[in-house]
Amino acid sequence: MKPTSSFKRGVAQVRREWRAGRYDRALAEVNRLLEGWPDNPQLLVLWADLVQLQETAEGPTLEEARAAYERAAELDEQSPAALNGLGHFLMAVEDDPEGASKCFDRAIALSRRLLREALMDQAKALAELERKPEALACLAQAYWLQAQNGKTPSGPEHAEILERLKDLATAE
Amino acid sequence: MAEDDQFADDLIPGSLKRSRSYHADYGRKTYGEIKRLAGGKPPDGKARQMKKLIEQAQRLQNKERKRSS
Repeated sequence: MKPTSSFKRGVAQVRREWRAGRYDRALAEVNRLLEGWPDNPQLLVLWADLVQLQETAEGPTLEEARAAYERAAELDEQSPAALNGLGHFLMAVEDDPEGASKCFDRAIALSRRLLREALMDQAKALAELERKPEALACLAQAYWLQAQNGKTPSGPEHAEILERLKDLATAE
Repeated sequence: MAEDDQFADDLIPGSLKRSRSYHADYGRKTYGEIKRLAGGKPPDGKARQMKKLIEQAQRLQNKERKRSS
């Protein structure tokens, strides 16, 4: 397995070039990283973003940028980053708000689920640390997120939150 | 940050000028004019598309700055 340190250094270099407005150099660095980590979803999203910032009309096409977002979304179904990027791309570059809305919908659902899971796990850790009010606050947020999920607050996720709340309430 | 007196062509990178949403005849209009036309009644379709390209470029340029702040 390749060391993650060189990947991290490379991505940090991309970000430095990006912040300095040197988008051509940032893209060149992403291209270099993609040789070592082909099909890495994070790199594919960076690449698609940077293609749109290139001043030259030569180089990768906008169709290729779209394909990179789609590939990243397909490879990492749990991450909202590629869907967000694709949503913005469809909205602005292709003037397709309907397609964009579908992407954002999926990104919202994924983000909500990830946040809910993290809140539940944090509540568990805080409870073990005997920080009950903070644990309860996390569960309350998770409950609120579940209730905002566009569904009636029921089902296994809802029951799990209620169960955790009950456990905490009865814990010494 | 795009200023209202900047020309669209100075705010849209070459790559995004290949989009079907780019209209060369609006390239010498300022961002302020484009926003006004896009928000008019009825909205100007070309201005609306150009505004979205300008804002996409701005969003992407600022993405890393936001992450580091």
